[in-house]
Amino acid sequence: MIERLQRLLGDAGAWEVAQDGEVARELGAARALVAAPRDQEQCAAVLRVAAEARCAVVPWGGGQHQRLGNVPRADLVLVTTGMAGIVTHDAADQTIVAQAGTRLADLVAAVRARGQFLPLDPAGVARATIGGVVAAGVNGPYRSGFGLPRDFLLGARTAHSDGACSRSGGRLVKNVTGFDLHRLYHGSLGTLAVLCEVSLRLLPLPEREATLALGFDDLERLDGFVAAYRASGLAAASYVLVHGPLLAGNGLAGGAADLAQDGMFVVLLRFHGTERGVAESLARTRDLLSRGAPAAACEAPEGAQAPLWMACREAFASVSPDGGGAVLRLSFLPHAGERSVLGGIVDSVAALVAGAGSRAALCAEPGLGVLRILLPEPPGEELLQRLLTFARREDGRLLVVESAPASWRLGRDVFLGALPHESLARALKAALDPAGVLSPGRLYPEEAG
Amino acid sequence: MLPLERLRRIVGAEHVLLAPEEMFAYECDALTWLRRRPAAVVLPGGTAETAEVVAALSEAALPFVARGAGTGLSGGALCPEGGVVIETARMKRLLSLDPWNRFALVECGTPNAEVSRAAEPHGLFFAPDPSSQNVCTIGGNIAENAGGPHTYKYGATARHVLALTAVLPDGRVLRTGSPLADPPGYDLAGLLVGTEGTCAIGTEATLKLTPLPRAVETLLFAFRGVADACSAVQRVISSGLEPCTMEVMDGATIAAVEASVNAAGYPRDAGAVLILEFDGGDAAVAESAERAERLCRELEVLACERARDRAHRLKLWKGRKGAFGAMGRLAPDLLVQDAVVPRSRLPEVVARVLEIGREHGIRMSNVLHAGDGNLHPNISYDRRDADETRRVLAACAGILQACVEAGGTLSGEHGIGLEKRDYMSLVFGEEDLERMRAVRDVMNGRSLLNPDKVLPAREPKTP
Repeated sequence: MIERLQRLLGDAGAWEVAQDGEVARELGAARALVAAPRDQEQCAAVLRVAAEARCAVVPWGGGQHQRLGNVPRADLVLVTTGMAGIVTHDAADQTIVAQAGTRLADLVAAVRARGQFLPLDPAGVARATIGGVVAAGVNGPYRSGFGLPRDFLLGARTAHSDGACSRSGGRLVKNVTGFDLHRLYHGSLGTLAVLCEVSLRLLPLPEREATLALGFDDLERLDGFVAAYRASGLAAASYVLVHGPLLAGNGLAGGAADLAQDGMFVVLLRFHGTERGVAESLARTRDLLSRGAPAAACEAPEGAQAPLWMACREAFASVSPDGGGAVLRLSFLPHAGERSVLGGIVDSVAALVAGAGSRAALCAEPGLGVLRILLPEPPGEELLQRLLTFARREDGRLLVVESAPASWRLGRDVFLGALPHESLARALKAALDPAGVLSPGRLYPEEAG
Repeated sequence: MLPLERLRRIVGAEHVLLAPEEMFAYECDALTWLRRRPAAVVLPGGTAETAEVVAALSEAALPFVARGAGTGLSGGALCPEGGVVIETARMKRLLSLDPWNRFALVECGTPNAEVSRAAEPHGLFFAPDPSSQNVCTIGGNIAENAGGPHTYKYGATARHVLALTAVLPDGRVLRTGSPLADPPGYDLAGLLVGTEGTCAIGTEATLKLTPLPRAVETLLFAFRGVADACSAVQRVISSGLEPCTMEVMDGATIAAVEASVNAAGYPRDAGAVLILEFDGGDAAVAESAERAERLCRELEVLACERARDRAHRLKLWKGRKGAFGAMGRLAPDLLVQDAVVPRSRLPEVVARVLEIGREHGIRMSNVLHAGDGNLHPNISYDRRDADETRRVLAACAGILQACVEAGGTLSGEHGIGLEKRDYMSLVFGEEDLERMRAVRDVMNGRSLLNPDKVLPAREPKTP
């Protein structure tokens, strides 16, 4: 196998990985080959070779979101970082085409240098690739204001397990020509095709940006604020809730350091816009505070904004730097009538975690109805069952394990039974991955035989 | 054979139409030169009836197509000869509206504008706003991934569908997506949006509602020609301003509008007008409008108007909203063409489009969603005049070719349907189309649902 790959890619294009390395840790694979194609054609050729050998292939960008989904069978890791670089950045048109292995951080910086803005800031942004972020369908704190990569994705080039190269969409900001298969690949966790190139729409870089931090030590008041904010119709670029200690040491100086205390829940709001527009949003937000008075409120000074949001972004994380932790995600409808249910859910979840003898940090996207439960180690069965019972007690809630070490995920279903439409999904996979070799088992378990 | 008795039992005899004079209205959609007469029209009353109707037709191996209001512009709702039209006109209930979680659950036959009307008292609206929004249905919007003037800021329909209930061509009911964030699994709702009714029939949709902006500023600029208007658009985009819409009309459109009941008082000597709109917070919108006005005035502006109030704003929009109707007065038929180019290429492409119109001696006026690079060359003609129709179609082919050559594509919002199916190879290769066919075949393997649309047939294998 390795010889065939090296004939395709050169000696430096395929190798075997160490058993104790990152690949083994993330995929729980004792042994795997790595192939690093440099373009779409090579990528398709690698897939054809792998398909002939019935080798399971896991596409790998920066390795930052490999913990999403179940543990796939992995014989060959297809590293996409050999397919890196910006193909075209049409600034006048506010669009960019980049190879899938381009680091997201490089892309964001290149765009920024020309006065434009790509609102993607998922955890692990320094190493994550644009292809990986699209395949994972993730975003960070910008999610609440700008949506997912899907909302910026204009088209893609892909390689398939029958050795074919294909394309959908294009680089036009409005386009209904043909099926938008790139929307299907988005969030498909590398199970349908390998993304080789993506095109994205961009926004103008905001003239001004401001961050407001509101510390709540009382969940009822938090709910009061969340409801008032929703009623206001204000649209922040980011709107998150983080457990105070997650922010410790990130530019919260002076009185603001109180925000990082245990028991404090901090609402972070970031506004983008023109000078007057941002001032107006800040003023209107302050007007809301009478209805949900925080214990502490401050506007982050210029230099403190970036570190604060970085801390927040990594706290969201499907990535945990030491590799041992787990993240559970609870999705819920954020309002029951005009009342915000966030505080009640935070309270219940914190009690369940404490009751099981565990500890957790919590962070949330109040506008979207997402609560992340960050555990220093994977949940025990008892805690998992209690949380699942809580989630299922009412309609309109959904719990999944978003991230956990491979060793814990092996043999489990991290979607906790919530994956729908199995037969249709399997048929779509068979249509787009005819050899059935792309990340088998990542979503639905592999069928015997 | 048509399972007539079974269909009547499912939907009630009064909801199965057969009379030849009743079939006439279903011969075509708003693209009038393509026509086919269905054998029958069935109007189911909801998801369950639709599923039963589809199952009956599927068992009888009869082809069928779903149809909303028939305002489509690419022949997408044309029924296969001898097939059955499933019209969604009875399915227009607003099932629920949750203003705090900002979504509405509606049946797919609901007219687009009804959703915004229901949401307005709660300070919300449904963002996609195609020109036909008073009649066109949510199901049709989903099938076509419909856009509209405000797509520039808010995105097309795909961004606003949270969940979808659809009937597959074998009669199974698929419920996919969720108003909850990040439901696991493949984004089937996202996939189905824009498949032009070739994969499934949408019956119920959960739609995202957007807060109505607090403030709106509308500006109208008149220019000597379309190229100047497009330059203004480019300047506004490059400056970093974020309007919610940027609409351009050419001189021929202005003349048609001003001669119609929708006369909006546009300067009759102008070669183009640009409508710019900003929405959002009061201060931000006022500041943006001032800046845009300064930027545009650096060009040669013949006239500039800034709406003083709601009535004035509606007046400025009146001509744009009435543009297609006004053109209807010029000739018996109107072909609304649709193509997109990178927005920075608009000035040269519009010039080329006008030239193509002159070369073929046709009557053309242009409306552009300029911010999105989306052109609508509107051709007034008489389809009973064979020579004129031939020249119109030749001009359309030339326009599409010119747009593709400029890095553009075949459709920005009207879809491919039957009209542009055979142009798909200008944009996509056989391998690209093969993936799309593979996905369609998963849903619609027997090709009974809306056959022969969007994707050209497989090329015969050469030995």
